Amino acid sequence: MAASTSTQPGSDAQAYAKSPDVIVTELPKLDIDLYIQNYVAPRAKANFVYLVVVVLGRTRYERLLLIGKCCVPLRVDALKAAVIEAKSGSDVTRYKDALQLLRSVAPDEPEAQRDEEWIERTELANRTETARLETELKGYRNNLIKESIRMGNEDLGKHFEKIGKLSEAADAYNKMRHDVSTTKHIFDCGMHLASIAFQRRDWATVLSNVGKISNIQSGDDEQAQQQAYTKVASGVALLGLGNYNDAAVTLLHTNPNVSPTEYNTVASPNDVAIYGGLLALATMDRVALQNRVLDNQSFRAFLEHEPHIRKAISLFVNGRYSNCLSILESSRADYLLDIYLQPHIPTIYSMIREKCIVQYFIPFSCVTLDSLDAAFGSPNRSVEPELIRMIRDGSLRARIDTKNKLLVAVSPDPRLVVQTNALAVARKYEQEAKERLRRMNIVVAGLETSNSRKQQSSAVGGSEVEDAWYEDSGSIPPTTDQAAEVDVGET
Amino acid sequence: MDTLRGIFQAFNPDVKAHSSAKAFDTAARNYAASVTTNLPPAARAAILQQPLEAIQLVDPLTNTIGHLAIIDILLRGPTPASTPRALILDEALRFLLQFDPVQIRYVGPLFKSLLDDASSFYTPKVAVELLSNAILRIDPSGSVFTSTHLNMAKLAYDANCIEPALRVFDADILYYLRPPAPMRLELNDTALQPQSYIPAAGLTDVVKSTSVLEYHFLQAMAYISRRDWSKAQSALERVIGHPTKDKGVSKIMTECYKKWLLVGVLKDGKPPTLPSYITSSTRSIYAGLSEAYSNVASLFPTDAAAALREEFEKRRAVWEEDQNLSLLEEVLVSYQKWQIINLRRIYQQVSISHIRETTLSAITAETLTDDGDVLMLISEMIESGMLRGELQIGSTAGESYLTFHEEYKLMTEAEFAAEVARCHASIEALTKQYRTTNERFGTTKEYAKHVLREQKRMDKDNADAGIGFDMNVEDEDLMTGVLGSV
Repeated sequence: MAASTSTQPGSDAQAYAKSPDVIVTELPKLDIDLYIQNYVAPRAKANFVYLVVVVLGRTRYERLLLIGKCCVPLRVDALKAAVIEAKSGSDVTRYKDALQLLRSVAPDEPEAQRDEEWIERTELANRTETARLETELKGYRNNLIKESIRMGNEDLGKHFEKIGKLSEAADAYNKMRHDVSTTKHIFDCGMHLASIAFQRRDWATVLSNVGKISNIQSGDDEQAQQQAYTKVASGVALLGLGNYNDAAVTLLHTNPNVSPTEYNTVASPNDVAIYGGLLALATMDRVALQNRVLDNQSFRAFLEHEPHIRKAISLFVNGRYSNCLSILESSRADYLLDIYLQPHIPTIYSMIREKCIVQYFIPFSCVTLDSLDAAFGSPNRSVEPELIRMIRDGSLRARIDTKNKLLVAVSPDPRLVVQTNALAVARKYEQEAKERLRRMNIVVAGLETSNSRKQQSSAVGGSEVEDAWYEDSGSIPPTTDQAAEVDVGET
Repeated sequence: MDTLRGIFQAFNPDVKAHSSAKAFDTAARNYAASVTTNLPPAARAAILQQPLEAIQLVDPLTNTIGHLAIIDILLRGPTPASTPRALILDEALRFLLQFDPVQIRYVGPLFKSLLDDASSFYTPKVAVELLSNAILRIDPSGSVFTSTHLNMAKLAYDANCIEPALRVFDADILYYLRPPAPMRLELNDTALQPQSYIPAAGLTDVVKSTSVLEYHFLQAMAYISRRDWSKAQSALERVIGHPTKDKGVSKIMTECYKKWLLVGVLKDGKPPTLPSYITSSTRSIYAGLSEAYSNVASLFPTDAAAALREEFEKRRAVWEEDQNLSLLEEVLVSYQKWQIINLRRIYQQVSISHIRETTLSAITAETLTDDGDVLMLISEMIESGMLRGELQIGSTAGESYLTFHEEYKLMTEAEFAAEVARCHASIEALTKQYRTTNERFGTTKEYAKHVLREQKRMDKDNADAGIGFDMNVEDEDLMTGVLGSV
């Protein structure tokens, strides 16, 4: 079940990702609930601190901005930090964006004042730096020193990336590839390109670049570091593509002994635990969860960062589904503030929920709808519509009995199944054999419909058959004895 | 009259009276010639003068050849006013119901012309009955397509009397004929297959590809008018899957494709899938010409009743132009029925009021307003066999419940065995037909050419380039190579 459903909801999630505004308006409503709001603030605060501390590079700004956009209680703090973050770099567009958001939220904050002088100064500095690097690169080119050209391109790419010109940066990084000479260079080049693709949310490019560097042979230490990076990066990219099962498997193989600095431009170890754990929960069955997640020594190290994910998984494995769901529900707000997870959360959660319902139902031949409501429904909402949808999708093999308020398991009579299948096959065979015989006879009698009038006049009469009639294959079954013999042979 | 008797009773129709089957064949041929083309004008005149006596001369069942000749002369020639035409027609009718299927092969063309004119002699209903009877008497399996098939189908469809034609429509047509082979057949040979004797006896005109298409089209229309969707669908499939050459698709095929989409929806509640043997070029031609229809078909299994209705209203002109309006109305009516049928995948028992709330009528694009209407609709569906289920009537219509049954009924072992045996037998029979077809194809000019060409190719492949590897080299001299040791 997991494998078949993993791709489809993902495509929904991608459509969903294009309009994150939906979440922005919805989230405050969710948080109105006092309990959750109380819970979100300190939890997310911790998150907030960790984000700033742990995650490096340009994702830091992105994460701050997302929290600023989506989380009401934290948005002023987050946006202020985003403004400061942007100002410490040299990307003017980012500063302007963050500033605009902050002004709409809290116009009176000192950070909300537009720093024209900084903007002008930075823009000027950026221009000179670009010009300088380009001249330098030209010089290297004239001297035809490969290594210098490569470094020149790398510097230029880094600079462009820093000032937010992503397509120019990608061009420069791509040019690096012509002059690579060691495996380390190949790895750097791939990593730079993947990083650009991450910022553009171009998951397919991430995967192709990561794929190119994942097979590089190098020393043991380096190998381990590269493995950690490639696993995390491709895991996140697969998540972005909505390929949940593969993403989970990839993330579960991440090496825990590598320092997080190798991959924290993409995600922190906490993120790895959350992504891997949630996706595994959404796509794997109980046995697989036990063997591949809970008993997995290397992933256990990650799960220690996020004990409640581990708790949720072990609750699921032990069959305590409603507890598992309530743990996940309590962290929903946190996960919604994650840049990579946000668009997929509704899908992943509903997949987990569906799995819980299916698992809950397995030991029974029928269950009252009331007990299902008690286990999975909320006070004012029945699970019935959800059950109907699941039955329609085919994920739940059951029927609803509205008279007795029951959910009844479907237990097909194996004899009936055999009978219907056998007869269907026999009839189909008979039908097809007749149809083929008929078509052969039509063709040999020259009664095909024809396109051009000239040929039609000859074909219609039936006496003339084109010499090449048996050569044009297409729809016409091979009319000579082979076809006849094949079918006869099967009987 | 005595001369007549001399001519017409010269032939002994009893097979046993002849020394061999071949002797019977020769005698029958000579006799057929003597009573038709070689009949003296005086004898012809005598028949026309005394019709009643002439008819009594021979018995239609035992001496079919002679009787047909007399009937033919009487029907076409001027008869005396004293003999009412109705009498002759009655005689002809009796003949058509009783003729001997073997003897008739000797007077094929004459018989065919009688069949061709049957519609002008009798009312359509009688004519259809007579034609279908004649077709199945000549060829009990009904597997050979003849020009009479098409005539009958046209007549039946135009006069809207499908019933008598059904026996012919239901038979699977497998053979389409090439003009008769020049070799002479013994027409009374019992082992002779219908696909051989029908053209040899001249019992059919030359058929064109359009007549084949038209016949199956009319067949489909006949089933549609009886709402037998599954048979209609397979008939339409025969038209749309007709073999094509040079990417040609005829108008009748595209028209049928449109109907096929609608009929498929009515039969299965979802858009049908094209059979695998239809080429991709044909598929794309169909798809390009029937967008409106495929829209309707793809909307049918969804919940979008309003969209379906809108599509129907918007393209009304198209439906009218293609003369598919009534079929589309049928589709709209059955929309809700299929919605209810699809509920069986979700519910085991469901209340009528719940059905009313969850299913939409495509005619109004809203739910029905009254539980009673829903109840009526469902009981209609159960009665017609469209839905397998059971109604439990409560105190009000809304409190009544529908219990869905399994889609298929469990058969007893005996029934199942019988059904399997039937399939086995029919596949066995098909195997034989495949064998004969194979033989038939083996003797065609094209196949002979193909074999020759293949042989030539094989010869070419076998020709060894230079030194053959087949050559047995026992002791190779490394210095001089293979050649040295030869």
